[in-house]
Amino acid sequence: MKVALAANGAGAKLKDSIKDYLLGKGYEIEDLSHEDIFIATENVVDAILTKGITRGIVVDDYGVAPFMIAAKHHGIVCAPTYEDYTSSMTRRHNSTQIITLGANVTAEKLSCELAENFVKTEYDGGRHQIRIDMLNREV
Amino acid sequence: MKIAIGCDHIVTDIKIKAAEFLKKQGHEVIDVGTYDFIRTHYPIYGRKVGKLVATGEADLGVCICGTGIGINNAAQKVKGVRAACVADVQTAVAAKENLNANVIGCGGRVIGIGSIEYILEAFLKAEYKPTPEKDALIAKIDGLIDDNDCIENDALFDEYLKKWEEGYYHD
Repeated sequence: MKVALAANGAGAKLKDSIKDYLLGKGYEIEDLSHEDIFIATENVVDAILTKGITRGIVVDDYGVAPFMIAAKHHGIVCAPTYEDYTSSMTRRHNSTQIITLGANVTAEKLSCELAENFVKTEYDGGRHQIRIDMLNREV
Repeated sequence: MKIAIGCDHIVTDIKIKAAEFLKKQGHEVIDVGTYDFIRTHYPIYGRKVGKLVATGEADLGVCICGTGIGINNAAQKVKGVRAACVADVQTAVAAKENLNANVIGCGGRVIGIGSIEYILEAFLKAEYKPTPEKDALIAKIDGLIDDNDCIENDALFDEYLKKWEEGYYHD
């Protein structure tokens, strides 16, 4: 599986750790980083919406700005992820394609595990799909 | 302040406690639901909170579901909303100071009411600290959604609710 990964300067170090970790687990990485968090996030959104990539991770200082940017898009569900429960549940229930991580919030080892939980967990579908259809009707 | 608050059926009890806390702090609270534990759908309440904030009927919004993710995505998809789904005070304050966030959210199954009270208090007290760079980023975020019917069309989700009633969505 290929994962789109991006960071700005504030998230670069943590992003590189996640990159090495996921490469070591056998995932392919497309690094779409940019100094401007708006461009970095838009790069990952574009990879999900137009390039057939199913998982994206954006890293900055708090994970808030990339969430605000990605979640505005039709067809995107984005999850700021700070702990284990969200890292997998947001795949199972929300079909989330992009998580955001904050270098000021989660440390390196936990962040790598959150990223792995996210990329390896599948969507449950079923009753949850009505909520995704509703999100896609909003925008 | 006038604060809109919403949740799904997973965390209604947590939402009620958060609303009580806000009232005790002297705020006017508009609770958009849900009001019980009967299965419903988070986009209904995220959109309602987002609409009240985007139209200026509420100063700020609070969105809580199990992880906070679903309902805050629903709020964020309303034009004019800048939502932050957080698990700690520092992130909540940064969201206000740097991005002038107008909706704060969290996961009611992720953090407890003590953390939620700290986050709400800090978020409401924090103020946006503008710079030209921050203003430009906020303008870009707000500009990502073209004008659409999400705010004015209260029948936005009716077709999906009808399909739900008909059994279209099942596990």
